[in-house]
This record gives sequence, C-alpha cells and structure tokens, in this order.
Amino acid sequence: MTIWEQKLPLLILGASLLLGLRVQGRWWLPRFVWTMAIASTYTFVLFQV
Amino acid sequence: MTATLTPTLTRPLTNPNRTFALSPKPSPSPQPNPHQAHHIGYTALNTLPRYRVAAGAAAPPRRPHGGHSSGRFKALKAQLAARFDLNHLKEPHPEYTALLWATLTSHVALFAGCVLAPSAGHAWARHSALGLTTAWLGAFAHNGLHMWSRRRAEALAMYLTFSNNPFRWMYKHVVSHHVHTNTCFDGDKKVVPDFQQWWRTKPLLNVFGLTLGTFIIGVKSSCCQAHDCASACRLRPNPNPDPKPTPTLILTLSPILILTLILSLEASLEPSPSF
Repeated sequence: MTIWEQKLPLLILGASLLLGLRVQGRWWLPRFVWTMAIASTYTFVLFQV
Repeated sequence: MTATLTPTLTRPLTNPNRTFALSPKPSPSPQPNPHQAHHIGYTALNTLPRYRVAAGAAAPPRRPHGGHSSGRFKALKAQLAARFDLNHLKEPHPEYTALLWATLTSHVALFAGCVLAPSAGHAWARHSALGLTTAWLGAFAHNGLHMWSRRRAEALAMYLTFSNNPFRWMYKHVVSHHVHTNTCFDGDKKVVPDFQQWWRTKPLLNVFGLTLGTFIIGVKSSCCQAHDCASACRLRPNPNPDPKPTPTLILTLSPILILTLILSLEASLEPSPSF
C-alpha cells in the first residue's frame, strides 16, 4: 500500500467535486451526498442483512 | 526490535524471570511488555529460541511449513477448497463479466450525465441511479480485490465508488470483517444494527426527514433553476422561444420512490440478534 495508492481516492473525489461544482454549481454537493447515502444504504442493508 | 519476550499469559512458569532475547544484548528489565505479552503465545515462545542465532554463527537452513504440521495444514487447505469452492469467482461466468462491464459503463455514463444534466430533476434522478451503480460496483470490486491474483479492472473499480480507499479496505474489511466475522469486533457487521436502531427508534423522523426533505430540495432546486433561466431569458431575448417542458416533478419523485422502496425492504427484515 503505497502513499499514492492511499492518496488516489482523495484525488478522484476532489476532481469529481471540482468538476461538478464548476458545471452544476452549489447543488452538486447535496446531490453527491444523496448519491453516497443511496449507495451506503443499498450496500449495507441489502447486501449484509 | 525490542529485546524482551516475557511469558506472562495464562500459566506460571518455573522461572518467572526468564527472558528470551532476540538481540545480542538482552534487556535487563524483568517487567513484561504488555503489547508483546498479548501477542506472543507459548507456541512462539517455545519456537523462537530454536531459531536464535549466536553472533557470528551460520544461520540454520530454513524449512517453511516444515515439521509435523505440514501434513495437517495441507489437509486443512484441501478440505477448505472442497467445501468453499470459489472457482465461479476465479473464472467468472460470461454473464458475470457482462454484468461487471455493464455496471461499469452505466456508472461512468451516469456520472457524466450528472455533470451534464440539463435540469435539476434530471440531476437528482441520475444521482439516484448513480448511487445504485456505486453500490453494485463496490460489490464487483469486492470480489475482484479478494481474488488471488487480483482482477485489476474490478480492483480499480473500487476507486470509482468515491468512498473507499486501501486503508479502509485493509483494516476495516480484511482485518476487522474477515478475521472477526459476525463478532463484536466486526466493523462492517456492527454498522447494520446501528443503522437498524437509528431507523426503528425514530421512524417518523426518518420518513419525513429523508423523503419530504428530498422532495423539497428537488422542487426548490427546480424552481431556482427555472427562475434563473427565466431571468436570463428576460435579460437576453431568446431568438428561438420554444422552451421544452422538463418533467422535473416525476424525476424529482423518483429518488423518493427509490428511497421509500429501500427503507420499506429494510423495515420488513427481521431484526438481527444482538451480539
């Protein structure tokens, strides 16, 4: 596990946030949180229960 | 490396001051190191002295997995391989591979659609679908990461789920979940009862907070975007006045329907036994 392997997710997340905020504006952030909420709920509830 | 390995775990020794030195200079302190005392068992304590090498002496030949346990170890591996055959994952069926690439393509396309969404309704709907592909992509990446050797496309897909990293994978999943599966030390398993408790203790708050909140946010953002568009049109007359109506209400309702479906399924499940 190199240091760049650990930094890569943050770089991808940062690039996604910057791209979305630039194109879609400030509403990109709550929509992205909404995506994460659905993904987390779907993963933990339907996969592990 | 620390010099002292003191046997203090479960049974007293004949000589409590006995120490095992791994370095040429043994530690003079008889006090046990609590960290090592919890991690070094009697098997290691009886085995390590046999591998001690005096300064200047030649090292004995190494015999990995040698001795009487080798046959038992091979038999155990054979039994595990027979009972838990993972060949369907090691050599995935064409349908599995097709599903992986369809999910990956959908995920990338939906992300691009979210960035380039023409309206707020489209954006909320595509973000909702992106949540589903994120979850499925995480499942595929989970299988790819667990394979030996790893399937690179699936392993790299874990990065596209935005919320995972190698540290979390190694220590929260591989160590915590797979070493202590279904115990109180299983971090992944502990999340589910916490979520169920949060959901069952305040169901009305969750229903109205999530569904109504999402509805209000979606409608308000649609109105804001429409208002901004109208203002821009007043400032700069459009030579082609043919605005297409966007189905914002239906597209805004879709995430609410998905969330209601998910929570209904969750609420219908039996509560898991307490640890």
